[in-house]
Amino acid sequence: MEKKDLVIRIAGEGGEGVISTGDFIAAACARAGQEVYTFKTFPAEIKGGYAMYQVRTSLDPLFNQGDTFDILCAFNGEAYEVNRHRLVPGTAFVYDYPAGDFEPEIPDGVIAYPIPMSQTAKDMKSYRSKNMVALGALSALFNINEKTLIEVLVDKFKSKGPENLSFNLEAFHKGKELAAALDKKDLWRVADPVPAKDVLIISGNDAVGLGAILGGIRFYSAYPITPATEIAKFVAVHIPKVMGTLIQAEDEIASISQVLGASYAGKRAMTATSGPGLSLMGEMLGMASMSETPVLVVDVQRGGPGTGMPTKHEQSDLFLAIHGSHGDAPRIVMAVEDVGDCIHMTVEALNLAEYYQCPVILLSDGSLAFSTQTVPAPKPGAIKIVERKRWDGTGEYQRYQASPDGISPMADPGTPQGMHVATGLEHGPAGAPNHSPPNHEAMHRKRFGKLKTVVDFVAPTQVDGEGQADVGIIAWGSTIGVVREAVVRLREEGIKVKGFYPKLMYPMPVVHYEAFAATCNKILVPEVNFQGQLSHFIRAETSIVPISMTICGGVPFTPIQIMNKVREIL
Amino acid sequence: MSIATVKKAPLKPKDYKSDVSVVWCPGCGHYGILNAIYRALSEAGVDPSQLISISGIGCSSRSPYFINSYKMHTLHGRAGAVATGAQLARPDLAILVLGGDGDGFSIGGGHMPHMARKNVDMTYVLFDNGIYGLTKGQYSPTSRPEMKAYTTPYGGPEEPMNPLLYMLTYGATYVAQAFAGKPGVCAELIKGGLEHRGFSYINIYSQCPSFNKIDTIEFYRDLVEAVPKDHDVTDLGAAINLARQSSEGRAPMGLLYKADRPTLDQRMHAMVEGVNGSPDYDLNQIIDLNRP
Amino acid sequence: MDADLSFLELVGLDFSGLAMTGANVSGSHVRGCVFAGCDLSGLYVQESDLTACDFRGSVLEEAFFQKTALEGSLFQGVDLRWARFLLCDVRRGRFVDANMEGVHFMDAQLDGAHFEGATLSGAVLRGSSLTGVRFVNCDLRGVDFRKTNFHHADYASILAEGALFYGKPPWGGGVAAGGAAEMVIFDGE
Ligand SMILES: Cc1ncc(C[n+]2csc(CCOP(=O)(O)OP(=O)(O)O)c2C)c(N)n1
Ligand code: SF4
Ligand SMILES: [Mg+2]
Repeated sequence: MEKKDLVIRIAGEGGEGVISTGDFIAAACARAGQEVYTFKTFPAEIKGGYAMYQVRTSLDPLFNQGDTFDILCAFNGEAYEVNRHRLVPGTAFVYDYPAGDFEPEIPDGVIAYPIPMSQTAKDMKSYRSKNMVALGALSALFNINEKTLIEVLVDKFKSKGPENLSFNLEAFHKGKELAAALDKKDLWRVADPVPAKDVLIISGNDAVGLGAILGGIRFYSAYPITPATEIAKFVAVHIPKVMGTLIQAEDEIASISQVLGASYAGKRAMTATSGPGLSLMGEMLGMASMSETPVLVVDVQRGGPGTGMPTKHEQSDLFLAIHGSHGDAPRIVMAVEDVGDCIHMTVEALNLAEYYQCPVILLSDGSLAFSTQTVPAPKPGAIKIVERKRWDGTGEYQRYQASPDGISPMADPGTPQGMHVATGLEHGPAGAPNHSPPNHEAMHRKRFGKLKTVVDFVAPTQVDGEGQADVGIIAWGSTIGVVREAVVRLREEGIKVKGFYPKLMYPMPVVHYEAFAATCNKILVPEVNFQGQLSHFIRAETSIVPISMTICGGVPFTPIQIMNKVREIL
Repeated sequence: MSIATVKKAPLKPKDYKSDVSVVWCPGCGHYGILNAIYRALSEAGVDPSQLISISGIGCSSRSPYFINSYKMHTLHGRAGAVATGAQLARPDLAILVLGGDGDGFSIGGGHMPHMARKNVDMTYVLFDNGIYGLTKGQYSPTSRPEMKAYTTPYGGPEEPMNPLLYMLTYGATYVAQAFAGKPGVCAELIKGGLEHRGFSYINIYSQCPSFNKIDTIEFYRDLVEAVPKDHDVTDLGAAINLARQSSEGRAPMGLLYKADRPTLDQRMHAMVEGVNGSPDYDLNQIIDLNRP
Repeated sequence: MDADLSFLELVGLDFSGLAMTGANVSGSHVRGCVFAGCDLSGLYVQESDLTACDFRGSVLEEAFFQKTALEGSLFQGVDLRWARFLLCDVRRGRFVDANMEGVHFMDAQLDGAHFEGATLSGAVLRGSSLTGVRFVNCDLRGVDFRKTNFHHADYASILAEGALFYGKPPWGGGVAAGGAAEMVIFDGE
C-alpha cells in the first residue's frame, strides 16, 4: 500500500522550542493545503524535561496521529534514547551532531542526517535559535514548503521586532544550507502545495472554548486542572467580547454551583474540568437533574483514579459521567471524536442542556486536548442555537407542570409573576416539597421520560461500512479515529469489518446498537480504560455480547493494535 | 444588588409571604428572622420578581420557601457559590442568601472567604443558632464547648469560631450582627445590607429550643450589647475590636463595618467595556485568530 | 410603629388606643395589660408573659406569638386573621366572635377556651390540646385538626366542610379523605 501521509516527530528538552517547531510545521503544511493531525506530550515537570511534538500531514483526511513516525528529529540525547527503539529501517533520523550532547548508534537501514544544531546556534551567539536551525534542515530535507513556512515565521516574529525576525530567518537558512550539503537518501517528502482550504488549525481544548463562544455561553466558571485548563484560557480571552463573564472559582464544587446559579438566572453557562473535578461535582449534578436546570460540564479525561496520571490519555470517566451522582439522576453524556467535534459538539451540548433542562457532560480526553488539527472553519451564521423553553407569561405559572414531552417552561428571574423555586427536594408541579410515593414516581418518569427524544435530537450514530461483516468495531471518543483508519486498512487486506461510532453515550441509542450488531458476526469494543466501561454499558443495555479490548498505558491506540486484534478474533 | 436598579414595589411585609406555610418548631428563633426579612424587603421596597432568595440545607435554609420571590433551595453548603453565579449572571437583580451556621461555616466554609474577598454583591443572612438544627442537634462551628449535644455527650472538644472577625478579616464590606429576639433591629440591618452595594454579612443569633439547650433567648439577650453610638463604621480596626468582644462574653449588636469597594460584577463589567464587548460582536474575528 | 418593648417589665399597664403595629414584645412581663383599640397588626411576641391581657377592640392581624403565656386573655371580636400562636398557653382564652381566618395555633394549649361564633376557616390547630374548648356556632371550614385531641371539645351548630383530621370527626359523619397528602412536609433534608 502506498503511504500518502508523513509523520514527523520532534523531540527534545521542554523549553528548547520543540513545541513551537511542531506548530510552525503544522501551520506551514496547513497553509500549503494539507490536512494536519498533531500529537504532543509535555514534560511532566513544570520546566524542562522531555517534550515531544508529532505532526502527521497528508492531502487526504486524517483521523489519528498514526502508528509511528517516519522522521525523527532529536534535539538531545534523551530524545534519542526515548525513541531509539522506534528507529526502524527506512526511518529518517535528524539529530544534533556534532557538538550535541550525544553520539547515536545508527541502526541498519535508518537514514541519518547529523545537523550541528547547537553548534550553529552557539556560533550565532544564541542558544534560542537551535530550533530554527532544525526547522531549516527539516524543510530542506523533506520538502516542507519553504514559502508557507517563512510566511508563518514572519507572522509569528514580526510583532517581536525586525531584528528578532531576521535573526530567526538567518538561523533557518543556516539550517537549510547545512541540510542541502547532505545527501538525501530517503524517500520521505511532504506533498507539493495545493491551494489552501478554508481551515482552522486548533487544539482540542481551544476548540471546546471556541465551540462554547459560538454556542452562545455567557457564563463560565473555571477551576484549573490538567488537561482541561486551556479551555478556560481561551474562553477568558473571548467571553467579555460577547458580554459574558468568566470567573475562577475556589474549587470545582463552587464552579458547578456557580454554573447552576447563572443558568437559573437565565444564562447559558458551563464549566470544564477533568475526572477529579467531575467527581467533586457529583452532588450538584444531581441537584441540576432534580431541579431541571441546564448545565454543561466538559470533562477532559485523564488517567485515574485518585490523582492518577494527570497528563496521560485515558477514556475512563464513562461510568462517572453516566452515573456519577446519588439517586436516579438523569443526564445526557456525549463524547467527542476529534477536534472538529470539540467545536460542534460543544455547541450541540449547550443546545441539549438548554432544550432538555438537565446536566450534559461532554467527554473529551487528554490526547485531544493538546492535539492540533486542521478543521473546516466554522461559519457563525450556520450555527444553530436552541434556546430553553420559556414561560409565555400567561396563566398561572407552575415550574414543574407536567407536559406531554416532560419539558416544562422556565421563567427567568425578573419575569413578573414567574416566581418559583428551583429545588433539590422532591417536589410537586409548583415546586413545593412533596415526598409522596406517587409523586416521586411521576417526577422520575418526567425527568427520565423527557430524554427519550434525545436520540432524535442528535445526529444518527455513524456506521462505517455496509452489508454483513465478520467483525464490527464499536468505538467511542478519540479511539474512533484510530478505528476508522484500521477499518480502511483491514478492508484493503480483504477482511470484512464495519465500524460503529456513537457520540451520544447516554441515553444510549440502543436501537442503533442492536441494528448494527445484527450485521456483524462478532463485536469488538476497544477502549482506553481498564474495566471496559463501554462494554459494560453495552452488556447492560443491549443484547450484544461484545469482545472487550482494553489498554490503559496512558497513550491512545494505534491502528496497528486494532488491526492485529481483528485478525486474531476473526 | 443593586437595590437602586431593582424595581421598587410599595408592598407590605405580608406581601412577601409565600403560600407555603412555615414549618419550624414552635419557639424557634428563625421565625423572628423571617419576620425581619419580610419587613426589610418591604421597607427596601424590593419587587418580588426582582429578588432571588437562595439557600442551602438546614432548618434556616428552608426560608426561601416562605418568601415570595424567585428562589433556589440548593445543596448543603452551596448557597453562596450558587448565588455568586446568579449574581454575576444577573447583576441587575437583588440576591438574598439565607442559611445556618453549619451550612455556611462548616460544609460551606470553603466558599465563605471568597464571597467576602470578591465582594460579591449580595446579602447573606446567617441564622446562627450554634447547632445543627435540622439533623437534630449536633455541635456546629459556632457551638460553645459547654454544649452537650448529639455527638458531644461530654461537651464539645473545640472552640467556636467568631463569624464577625472572620468576615471582617476576609474583606466583607458590610458586617452586622443582631439577635432574633429583636426583629426590628434585624430588619433594619437586613435592609441596610440590601441597600449596600457589595457583600453584606449579617449574623443573627437565633435560639433553637429543641436542641440547643444552653443558648436560650435569655442567654442571647444578655450576650448582646448595642454597638456604641460613637462607633465609626468605616474604621476596620474599631470594628475588629468590637468583634473580638464576642469571645469575652459580650457580642456587639448593630452595624460594625461598612466600606465602599468595587464589586465583583462591576469589575467584570469593566472587563467587558475594556474589550468593547457587544452582543453583536463579530464571531468571525475570534474564528480567524485560529487560522494557520 | 415597630416599637421595641422587648425584655421589659410592663405589668398592669394600659396601652389603650396606641398604634403599635409591628411592635416587638419579646421576653417581657406584660401581665394584665389593656390594649383596647390598639393597632397591633404584625405584633411580634416571643417568650413573653401576657397572662390575662385584654385585647378587646384591637387589631391583631398577622400578629405572631410564640412560647408566650396568654392564659385567660380576652380577644372577643378581635381581628386575628392570619395571626400565629405557636406553642402558646392560651388556656381559657376568650375568642368569642373573633375573626380568625387562617390563624395558626400549632402545639398550643387551648383547654377551656371559648370560640363561640368565631370564624376559623382555614385555621391550623395542629398539635394543640383542645380539652373543653367551645366551638359552638363556629365556622370551622378547612380547619386542620390533625394531631389534636379534638374529640374533647364542643361542636354544636358548626360548619366543618373540608376540615382536616384523622378518623371520624366528633360532629358526626365519615372519615375525612387525604389529610396527610396535603401537608407540605420537609423531613430531614
Ligand atoms: C452533603 C450533606 N451532608 C449532610 C447533610 C445533612 N444536613 C442537613 S442540614 C445539616 C446541618 C444544618 O445546620 P445549620 O446549617 O446550622 O442549620 P439549622 O438547621 O441549624 O438552621 C446537615 C448536616 C446534607 N443535607 N447534605
Ligand atoms: S430544630 Fe431548632 S432550628 Fe430547627 S426548627 Fe426546630 S428549633 Fe428551629
Ligand atoms: Mg444552625
